[in-house]
Parts: sequence; C-alpha cells; structure tokens
Amino acid sequence: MQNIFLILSVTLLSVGFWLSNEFKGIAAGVALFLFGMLSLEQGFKAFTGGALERILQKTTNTKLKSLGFGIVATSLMQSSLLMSIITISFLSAGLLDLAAGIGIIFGANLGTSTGAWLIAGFGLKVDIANYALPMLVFGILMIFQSNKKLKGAGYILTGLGFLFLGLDYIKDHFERFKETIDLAEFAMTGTQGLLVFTGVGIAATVIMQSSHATMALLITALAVHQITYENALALAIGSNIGTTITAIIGALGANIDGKRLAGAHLLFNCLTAITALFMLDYFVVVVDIASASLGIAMNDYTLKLAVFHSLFNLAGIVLLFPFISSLVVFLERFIKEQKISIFLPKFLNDSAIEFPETLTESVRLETLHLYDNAVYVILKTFGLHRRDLQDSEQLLHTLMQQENPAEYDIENAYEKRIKGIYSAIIAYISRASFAPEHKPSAKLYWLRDANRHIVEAIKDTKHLQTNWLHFGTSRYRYARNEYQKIAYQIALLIKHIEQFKRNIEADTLPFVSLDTLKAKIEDDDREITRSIETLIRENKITPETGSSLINDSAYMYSIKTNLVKTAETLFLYKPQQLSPEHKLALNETEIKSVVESIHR
Amino acid sequence: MKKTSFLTRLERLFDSEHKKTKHDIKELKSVLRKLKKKERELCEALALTTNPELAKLYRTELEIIRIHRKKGLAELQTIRSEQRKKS
Repeated sequence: MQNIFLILSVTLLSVGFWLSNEFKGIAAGVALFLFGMLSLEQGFKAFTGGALERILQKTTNTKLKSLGFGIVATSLMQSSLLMSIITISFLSAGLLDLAAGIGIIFGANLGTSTGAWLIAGFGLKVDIANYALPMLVFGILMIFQSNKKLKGAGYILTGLGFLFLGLDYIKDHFERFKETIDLAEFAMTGTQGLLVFTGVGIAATVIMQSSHATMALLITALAVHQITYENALALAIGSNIGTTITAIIGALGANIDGKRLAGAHLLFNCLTAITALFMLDYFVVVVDIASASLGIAMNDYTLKLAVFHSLFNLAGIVLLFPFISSLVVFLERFIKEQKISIFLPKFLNDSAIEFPETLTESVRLETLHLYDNAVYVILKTFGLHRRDLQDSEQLLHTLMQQENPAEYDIENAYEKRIKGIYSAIIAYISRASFAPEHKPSAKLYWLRDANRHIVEAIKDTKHLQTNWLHFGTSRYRYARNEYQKIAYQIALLIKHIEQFKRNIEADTLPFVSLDTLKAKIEDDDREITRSIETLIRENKITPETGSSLINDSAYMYSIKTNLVKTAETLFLYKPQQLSPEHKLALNETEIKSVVESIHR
Repeated sequence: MKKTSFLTRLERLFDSEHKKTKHDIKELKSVLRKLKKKERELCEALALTTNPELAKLYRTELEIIRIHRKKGLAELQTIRSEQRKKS
C-alpha cells in the first residue's frame, strides 16, 4: 500500500513539475519547510534527556500546570509532534499520568497555533530569505562541532533557516502561480465549500504529516489571494484534524496509555473542529472583534486566520478542559487494556526508548516486574503465598505445618515467569546501547546487574528445592527443622524488603536500613552454621545430612544477598546521580566486621 | 577587596564544579546530622529495652551508623582538602 502511494505521489508530482514551473517551486518550498521541521525536531532532541524532562516532571503535577507546559513548550519548539512523542514516551514509562498527558496535548494544540502567527506576522511581512541564508551557514558550522548542545543548536538554526527558505519559496512561487492559474476560481461557498476544504485540509496534513506545512501553504496562498478567507478557515480546521493522524501513527508502538492519549488528541481535535464548523459565523465575528482589539487591519486576512486558529483551539480547551477527568474515565472504558499475561514484559515499549530517562525508568519498572515474579516463584517453592508474609508468626506456623511439601515445578516457572522477561530486558538494554544518542549509562548497567541477581536467586532456589523436598518428611526431624528455618529466613527477608520498599519515602536514612538487612543476613548465616555444627556434634543429624545443610545454607545466603542487591538498585536508586549516601554504604568486609563486633 | 580575591570569587560564581562540590558538602553534612540524631535515638532506645532481640538489633544499627559517620567525615575531609587544593 505504501509503495503504491509513493509511486502515485512521485508520478503526480513529476507531471505537475513538467506542467508548471511554479508548482515545482511551491513543492520545493514545502519540501524545504518540512526538512526544516525535521531539523528543528532533531535539534530539540539534543536538549531532551535533561532540562526538558526535569521541567516536564516538575510542572505536570496539576492539570492546569500540564496545560501551561504544553502551551509554552510547543510555542518554543514549534513542533506539536515532538511534544506528542515526548508525552507518549513519558506516559509509557509511567512518569506521567493520563490526565497530565491530556493536559499537555490540549496545551500543545494551542501552542502550535503560534506557528500561524509567526508565518503570518513575520514570515510574510519580512524578507525572511535574508535571514535564512546566514542561519544555514552558522547552523551547519555548529552541526560540525563535537559538543552535543552546540550540535543541537546548529540543527535548530539550520531548521529555522530551511523553514524560512521554504516559506520564501512558497510565497514567491505562489505569486507567480497566480499569473498562470487563479486558484481562487475554484473557491466554494456555503456548507459545500466548508466540507470540501476541510477535507482538503485533512488530506494535505495527512500527506505532509505536518499541520505547520499546511498552515504555511494556506497562509501564503491566502496572502496572494489564491484562496478565499472562508475557504482558508475550513482548511485550517481540516489541518487540525489531519494532524491527529500523525499522533495516532506515533501511538501505535506505545502502551495502552499512549493509545488513550492519541484517542484524547483525536477527540479534542474532532470536537473542536465540529464546534468550529457549526459555529463558524460566530467565530468570524469574534475573530473580527479580537483582531480589531489587537490592532489588526480588517483586510489583513493572514493574521486574522492566525487569530482564528488560536481562538478555535482555545475554544476547544475551554470546552473540554473541565472534563479531563471524565475523559480519562471514558477513554479507560473505551480503550481497554488487554489482560496482560504475567509472563510477558509490561513496560518495554518502543516509544519509551526515545529518551534516556524514559528508557531507564521502563527498564527499572520491568525489573520490578521480574522481581515480583521471582518473589512469587521463591515463595511458591516453599509452599507459601504473598499473603503469608503479613504475619511473621503465622508464616512460621504455615512452614511448620508442611509435612511432605508439594513439589512446585520451578523449572517450568522459570521458563514461564522469568526467562522471557529477563531476555526481553537484556535485548531492550542492548537495543538502547546501539542507539547513537544513548550512551549506555551506569544506571542501565546497575539494572542489568539487578536482573542477573534475580535470575541467580531463582537458580539458587532451584538447587535448594531438591533437599527441601527430600528432608521435608518427619523422618528427618532435625534436618526438617533446619530447612524450615532456611525457608523462614528467606521469606522473612522478602517481607523486610517489602517493608523497606513501602517505607522508603518516610525513611530518612534508607541506606542504614538496608545495611542493617545485610548485617542480619550475615548474622543469620553464622547462626545457622553454628546450629548445624551443634546438630552434627550431638549426633542428631548425620555428617552427610550436615554437609547438605551447609551447602543449602550457602544457597540461602546467596538468595538473600541477591535479593538485597536487587532491592538496593530498584528502591534506593536515584535517577539523577550517585547521592553521598551511596558512598557511605557498607561493603562486605565492613558488614562482616559489624557482625563480629556485636558478637564480641 | 583585593583584585585577585575578587577574581577568584567571580570565577567560583561561574564554576559548575565548585557549585557541585558545595552541593555535595551540604548533602553530606545533612546526612551526617541525620546519622547523629539517629545514633542518639538508638542509644536511648537501647538503654530502655529489656528485649534481647531488640537490643541486638539496636547494637547492630549503632555499629553500622558508627561506620557510616566515620566514612562520611572522612569523605567530607577529602572533598574539603580537594577544594582547598584547587583554590
């Protein structure tokens, strides 16, 4: 289908170029304009992965702030598409909620209308080609620099240069085009004109994948009287609907919230367009009043079009902003999440790979998912459930009651619950490392290690399971007690990690709590070794059983240390940088010395 | 103010590394203060408890905090001496 579309476009354009030199000029202008947009987006991407994300995270805690962020950021970047991509990435990584995302998108719609102001107010009234050429020269010079920020600024400057050059080309050739064909002859009035030109606006934006390019074309056409003001209004409405198609395509690789956001975008633009179409006469009056109060001449239709573009987007915000919460409920009901299998990765989607922050957060969330699955498998191996962790005494009681414990198919559980997600995480991290804009960060390495620790804990549990089942009968009374102690200690550690995770916000010194857990692991290990030695000495267990127990207590130690190391990365990990607390955390030797000192 | 001292101050104003060091020192001091407070609370709790298990836990935490504080003070000294060397 794509190939047919491409062949058709090339053929039609070639025929057009052959027939008219002016058409060739306009098409080249649009191409330059679009290339400028791409370059601008590339430039702003160099500034993401830092300030922009931090601002986004801090300024989107209320719907009103999200709206403000959408307006300001899109006005500055002049790209609602980039804003959509960033918002979808943050939503996919769980760093934004849907209501905040919708607020940003509403704001982006108003922010993008500043483009029409720039084109109508600056692009057509000033000889922008004079600015374009130096911008291109300085921009290219900066692109060749090795500094990432300078390179980004270079792309922005080059983008603006191409935008201006494209606009100048369109303007110039439209003026000449008028001498051959007068498009105004095709003007339509009434409802028919509204519908046809809205359709043309949609089609043009879908083809060019940019409402900015459509606006640039129609404003320049309006400036040289190639289209009527009434038809230009319909085209502007159409371009607003057409732009949602790009957002929908962008949301295909996103998670369910990304898809819901695209749904909200479509709803907003369609409802705004329908309102504008039905109330166009009123809008025209309001535009006239607003233009008069802004000092815009009554016959300056290009600026009046910009006023209209801003006003009808503002009307959409006024109409829908109070209902964002209801919109969220509606979208959640309408676009339902498919029941995701516990065995599949939940957070590793393509849209989150765009920015370092969202990428790292997605990997962290997926690692947390893997950790939860691992805890399930470990507890099941010892015949326990998560609910048993609530009460320590009840937990001990449940373990003591187990006579001939049932065998849990840990091999199968590993294949189903662990291996797939683990492999997906590793593949995702590798993919990110290959992307030129993502240097593999230390945080990703820590998370990869955390994943390895989880898998090691499961493998150790598998080794431990053999003797847990073998010595689980009352025939081996003393050995069974020791194995129950081992299972109890592992379950208790999981419970302590859950508590640590829950209280981390309130804990002023979380690294002290974690080091205390590490010391407890060390102490428990000494305790159990002493207990086993006593049992052998008192002939309560055979030396063979004792050696099995010592081996298995080593597995227990390994499971516990691996789980604590994972918790350290997952819950103590800060996205910004290494905090001073990290430097104070105790190493293995220091932990051992603590345990020795309390036994002295 | 002497010209060199003024220039040094001006340089520091724009030196991001200097700002980072200052921030690190502030953070470290705050952590050390929290550790000291926690140590005091644990000492009081240890004196009051009769439960041997709890007493053992408090002793462990106190020992951990002691090492944390020792490492923290050493780190603070290192940062300060590096800062002095640079200026």
